[in-house]
Amino acid sequence: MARMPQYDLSARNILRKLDVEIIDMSDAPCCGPAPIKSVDYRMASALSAQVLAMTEKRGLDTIATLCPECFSSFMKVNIGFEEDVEFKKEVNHLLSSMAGLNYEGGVKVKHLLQVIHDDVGLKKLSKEHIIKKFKGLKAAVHPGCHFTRSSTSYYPVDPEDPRMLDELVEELGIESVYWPLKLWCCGAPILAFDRDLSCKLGGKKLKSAKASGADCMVTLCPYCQMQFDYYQSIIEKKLDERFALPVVLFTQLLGLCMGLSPEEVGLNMNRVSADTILDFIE
Amino acid sequence: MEGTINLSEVNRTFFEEVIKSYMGRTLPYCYQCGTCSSSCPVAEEMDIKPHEMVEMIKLGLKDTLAHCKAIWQCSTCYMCTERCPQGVKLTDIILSIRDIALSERIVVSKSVEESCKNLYDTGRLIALSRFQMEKRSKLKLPRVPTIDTEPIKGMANETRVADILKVR
Repeated sequence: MARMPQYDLSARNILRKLDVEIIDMSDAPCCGPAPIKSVDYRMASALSAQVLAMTEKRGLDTIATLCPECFSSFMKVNIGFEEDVEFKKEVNHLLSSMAGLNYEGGVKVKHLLQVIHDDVGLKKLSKEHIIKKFKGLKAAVHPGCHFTRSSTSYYPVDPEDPRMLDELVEELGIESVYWPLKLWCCGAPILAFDRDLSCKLGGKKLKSAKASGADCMVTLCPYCQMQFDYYQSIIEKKLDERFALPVVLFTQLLGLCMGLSPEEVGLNMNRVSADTILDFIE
Repeated sequence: MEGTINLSEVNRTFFEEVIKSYMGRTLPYCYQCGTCSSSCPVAEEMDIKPHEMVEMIKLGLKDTLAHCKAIWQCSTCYMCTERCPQGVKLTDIILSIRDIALSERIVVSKSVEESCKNLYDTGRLIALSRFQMEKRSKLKLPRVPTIDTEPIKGMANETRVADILKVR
């Protein structure tokens, strides 16, 4: 997660405290997200398959991502390989002839939230690692798209009511408010094609969160984080409306509750000041 | 979408072209319920609504669809795909229309070209700036190594990515 240092930093510091060893896949290529899928799905899928094959080659059976788009790209290769033999053949042909690798499927794909929520476990987290909690803080939880959709039988959360992030946030003493546009896209993927529409969508979400009484928004995706935090001032200008809504990554909130300092979770790197949330820590 | 269909525009192979691809294979199952359009967060802004796109492929209106704004307004949120009662993977279908529109040079997307170029040159979609590198080192985050781009260049040359970059 090279381009969002506060996500990288907070995730590493949390995992260190949780005694989880990190094996970096930083020499792996891009996962082949939407812009590449817009040109050639075989190339996009072969890139994902290459990352999964490289994971296997290191003797690992699971890959964890910070980014839901990577998560989704990998999942879609796994699902496609299981459901469509021709697709698997096509992708592997490209992969073996160009990268000298072969991927049969089966590498487990997880988002970091699953590692924390399921593998470490909320109970253990609460008992052994959370040393302080928030009190009275209300958050609009933004589960995002690519960790949530689409393939109900394969994805780890209910696409119509994804609760995993809410459950973690609630464990930290934060109230997850109901907000009507919770499941909607942040608008970041269309920034390059239609800036006005991207801002409009982002603005609708920020407005909905704010109107629902949230003191902050919580994300699990670097692109959503970028859209709501980095671009919030641009959205405000475009819509001529002020939100001043802090947007924080779940790793930042968790880190604070595990005793990390605001600097250790990179809170100072958020564009919209998130210092106000610190007043809610007991 | 205009109320009248111009039959001189009908492309009789378009439907086949879409459904024979992995991304478009689910298209025939659409029965026009409109769940996709009512679930889409950007449908109200689109010149052609998601369910209309499917019908237009079936009718062979390739040119109109390849030129429309809507295929680039799709945020790839997969809400339509998740909710489709017929298992139509509409997000994938929209991506395949983009693919056709780009590779046949019906439209040009600077941003997609730039993504492909970055991927080809560095293995990453967006290259890390010097500022970002310095920031990482200040934070004592691990160095980001260069990626072996040989396999990527090979794959690109075998696929339409090379056509976009005109490097073949």
